[in-house]
Amino acid sequence: MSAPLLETRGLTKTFGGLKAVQQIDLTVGANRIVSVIGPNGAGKTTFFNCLSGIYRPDGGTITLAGRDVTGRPPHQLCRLGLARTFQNIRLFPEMSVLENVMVAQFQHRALAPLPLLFRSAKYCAAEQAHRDEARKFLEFVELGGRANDPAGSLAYGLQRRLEIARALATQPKLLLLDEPAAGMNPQETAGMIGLISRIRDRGLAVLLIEHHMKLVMSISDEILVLDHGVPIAHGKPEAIRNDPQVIRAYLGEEIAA
Amino acid sequence: MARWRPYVLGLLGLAAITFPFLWLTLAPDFARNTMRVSWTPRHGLQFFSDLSPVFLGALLIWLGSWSNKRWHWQARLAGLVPAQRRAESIRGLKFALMPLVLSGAFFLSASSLGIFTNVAIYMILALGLNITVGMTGLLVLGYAGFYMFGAYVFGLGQEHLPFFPWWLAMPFAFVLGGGAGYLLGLPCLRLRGDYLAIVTLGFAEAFRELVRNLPITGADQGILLAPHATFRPQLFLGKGQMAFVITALLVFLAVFLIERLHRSPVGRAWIAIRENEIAAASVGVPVVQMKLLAFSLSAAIAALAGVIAGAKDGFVSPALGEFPQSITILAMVILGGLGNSYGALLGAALLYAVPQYLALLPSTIQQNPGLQAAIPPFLREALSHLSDYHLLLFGAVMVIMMLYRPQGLLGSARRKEEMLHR
Repeated sequence: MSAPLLETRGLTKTFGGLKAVQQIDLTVGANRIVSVIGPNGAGKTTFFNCLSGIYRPDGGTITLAGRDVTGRPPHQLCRLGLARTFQNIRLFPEMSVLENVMVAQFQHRALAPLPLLFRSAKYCAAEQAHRDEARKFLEFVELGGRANDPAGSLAYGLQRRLEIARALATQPKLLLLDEPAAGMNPQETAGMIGLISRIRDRGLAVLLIEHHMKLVMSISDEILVLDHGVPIAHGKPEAIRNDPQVIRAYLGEEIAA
Repeated sequence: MARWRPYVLGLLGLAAITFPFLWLTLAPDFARNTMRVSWTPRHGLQFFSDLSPVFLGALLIWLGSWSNKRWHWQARLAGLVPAQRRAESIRGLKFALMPLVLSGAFFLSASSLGIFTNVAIYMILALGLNITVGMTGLLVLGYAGFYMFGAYVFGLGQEHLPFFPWWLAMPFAFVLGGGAGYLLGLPCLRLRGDYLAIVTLGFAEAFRELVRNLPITGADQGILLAPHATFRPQLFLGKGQMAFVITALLVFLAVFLIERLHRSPVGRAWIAIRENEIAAASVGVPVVQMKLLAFSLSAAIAALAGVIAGAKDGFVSPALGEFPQSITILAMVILGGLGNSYGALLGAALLYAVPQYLALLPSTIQQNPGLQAAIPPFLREALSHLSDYHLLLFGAVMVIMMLYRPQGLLGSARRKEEMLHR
């Protein structure tokens, strides 16, 4: 069997005395949807920041497609096929929606200075091809009609969709989504469920942080539950739903007992 | 038309400031031992007739732009990609300005040529600084240090090499200035935010002190350049004309190349870094490398401007790298609009030309008896000291700008253009 897409072994991150994430072992196979859930402050976003290179883990290893990538900077991880969105949306608000997506094509662009400065025919053709491709990504997340608006003017839910389009434009194999349905109404959440399954249909694997249980239970292949930075359960959605430890973490001792 | 409104308003404002002084002359009145200001309509008429090529040129440009919008002839001529056509066809028209600007070498007086050459040098500096401060969002407070660096590369080179004229010094200074920027950026671009500002400020000051105290660099006096190295009369052009033409051509070249970069994946990456560094890194933009590229490119441009300054003045001195220089260039970029190359041009023109006019004001009044009679003595007294207060005026203008138009005069132009012309 070929190496799994993403594998972490004993991943640990501490801030001073606080052990934010401890000993996480997780494997994500190609084209799987894996969710990470847990109460607030459980270390989910810290885990994502370690995976995407924003934090350098204090212990353990991260393997991406069979290659050890522990401690690599974000842009290199992106080059190796890992893209992410952010819980607190991080767009480029002054740029147009289309340009936001085009920024993400940076690593696929030829940047020889002379053709670029004097706009050779080849460069113009590449620019046009990437622009068309960026429009396709926008249409994929149903933002096609807003391509020329400033990204900062989009409504909240649409900004989340734009972040996903931007992440897809890096042509990743694995997409990390940090609370994509946060603050969405039921209708928008249903749209997000559809979008995530369509992303899976494109052949990507998705690693998902989400509080919205209906979303998590309906599309995940596997679920990892964190509490205080420690993995407390790992398995299929049905198993997690009835796991006493998970119920205790979410609802407290008395109810579980 | 809305795109042109800030340009037109800026020019009208400048015209309104200077308009009254067109019609007046100052002459000494030896009998009363004062100056007389007199009303001489001839001067104003002369001025407008001198400017008629400008009006004609503006009319031609407008006609060209209008017919181009209607029939898209330029896009057909250049065979551009459809998506770039509309924006490009309008933008490309700036080169129609070139013959007009260059012909200025022939109809402007020697002293105005000197002023406009300086304006052009500041334009190049502002364009360069705009790459780091405006596009990439890195605050640099010691930009004049690179300007001085380029001038001294030229000065020392022509002193120690048998043949080192300005046109040979330019590529040298460009490459060495870029290298200096790279080396300086390497340690501090990994830091965040204001560290870069302080480090560049410190390095610029340290470099200036070093130059002021080394015998090899001629200390405070600087270096007198050999005549063969500086601008000199060539072909049919005089020395001042030569300086003006070369500098103006470099302004056009800089605008052309920088705007091409601005609208390429590189420019997009720079703006992305300014807008959100973490997001830029996570979509694959190598943040440190792109910052280094922006910083060393702008350092290289400043060094190039340093060579021009040396070749124009015939000497280089530590005065080029003084802290107020850095601040003036920064103010030009901010006034014009961060991230907008045309804004940098406008800012440079306004912030250099207005103090020049203010400095000329008292002597203009003194030479013109009519004006002197028209202006009450207390006001005349105040006006004669006006240029002493130009920094105060700058301060006031900057505060007003920050309150009412923090994006600068042309700050929103790029965004608007992006949204409209796609």
